[in-house]
Amino acid sequence: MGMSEPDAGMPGFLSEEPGERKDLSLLRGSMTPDDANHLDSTTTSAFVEGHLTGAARDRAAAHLAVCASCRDEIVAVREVLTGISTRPMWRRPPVLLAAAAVVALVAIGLPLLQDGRLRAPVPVAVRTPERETRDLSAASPAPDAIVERGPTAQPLVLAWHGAEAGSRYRVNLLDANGETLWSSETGDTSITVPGDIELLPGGSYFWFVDALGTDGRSLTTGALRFSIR
Amino acid sequence: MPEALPKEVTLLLHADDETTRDAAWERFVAQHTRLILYVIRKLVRDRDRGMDAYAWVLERLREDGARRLRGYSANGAGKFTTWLVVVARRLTVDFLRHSGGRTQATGTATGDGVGRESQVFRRRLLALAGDTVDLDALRDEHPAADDLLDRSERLEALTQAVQELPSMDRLLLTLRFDDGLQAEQIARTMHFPTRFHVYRRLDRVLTQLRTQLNGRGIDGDE
Ligand SMILES: [Zn+2]
Repeated sequence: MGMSEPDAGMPGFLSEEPGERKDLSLLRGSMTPDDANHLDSTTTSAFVEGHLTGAARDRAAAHLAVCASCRDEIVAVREVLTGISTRPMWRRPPVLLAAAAVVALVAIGLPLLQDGRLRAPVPVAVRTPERETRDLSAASPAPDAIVERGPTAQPLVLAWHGAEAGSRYRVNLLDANGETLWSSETGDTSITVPGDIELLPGGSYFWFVDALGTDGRSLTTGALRFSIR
Repeated sequence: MPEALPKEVTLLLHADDETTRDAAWERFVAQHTRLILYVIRKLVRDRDRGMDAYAWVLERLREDGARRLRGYSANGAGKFTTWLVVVARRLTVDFLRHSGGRTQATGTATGDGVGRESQVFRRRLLALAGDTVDLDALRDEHPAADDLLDRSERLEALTQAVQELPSMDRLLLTLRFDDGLQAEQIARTMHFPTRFHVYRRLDRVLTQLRTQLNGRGIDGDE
């Protein structure tokens, strides 16, 4: 597992000048990366996954500290992987799958009644295993609320009962397929959805809030559905 | 920690006739197209160009009997998906260079905004670590000769101290102060459990730098 073996057949990448920020070289001191030493795809992949240890990791980090293009790459790859794992398109988190299932059942008019008994619909606000819903809960729109949205309606405000003081919140608004429409961060316990986010009459949407407490613990409201009249 | 090769890749690499190979390739493409397109869309906004890039990436992956995929099977680079993201991204960058295009990515360390902010972050690092090393002062039009010497000495000492840090700490400082990444992004990239761990580590490294500068007789107070 080395850094000197370039990916053959990718001359473009390997001959690349190491970034446009060469002039800002205080942190890097007099060191500049040797082009031939860009991380190969195996090392990059292992670093991104946190599998590199010991000397191999230190060597990779030493190169990354001086090479803007390899740094860009690990950051971008990490973001892609994060995007894939949080984007419902790719791997829908159980909460959203359950929610989407409910929507789908309702949408295609499948009876929730079976054997003469009402089957409990799949719960929407399922706890995700590694998070707790202890102190954080949604206030408005209420779960399964129907929101009136005339053409002259005020912007939609999402509000929640906060966790401890000083928490930061990430608010996510998703469409019925679980695709993220909008997401934002705030220290407040309410937020206005920007006017350019289209919420269509008859449409179902989900929203949830994740809180990051001052102790580093994270909480979530779980996904909550509302629809637009 | 190589994982078992995905079935469709194994099939592709072990197919010994054209028909089997074609079928295996179709499976591979079907299995990974969304991932590849996702990677491409991060770099190419224009839909048509994106599709050109997609065709290019597939072509490169398939050529020479899927040589690149064999590279994975030979080395084992952790999850296949991660490795494929790295390779697909490199090929897309390659495509853009070949087709004379510019990367349209945002949100990575190369984003224009980040470049502009870089100076600000650097100054903040200097302020945090050196307390008195002032880049603006270094650029004074008529600095007193003594002053200038003094400041460049401090700058030199700081640079030196940074160079002596463990490489993971240097990377941390670079991502934060050079690239201007958010602590959350750094946490994900460098495997800190939370961004608070990033802050704590930064704090510790900066304290260490300060101590080291003081130890060298570089006074924090002017
Ligand atoms: Zn490099």
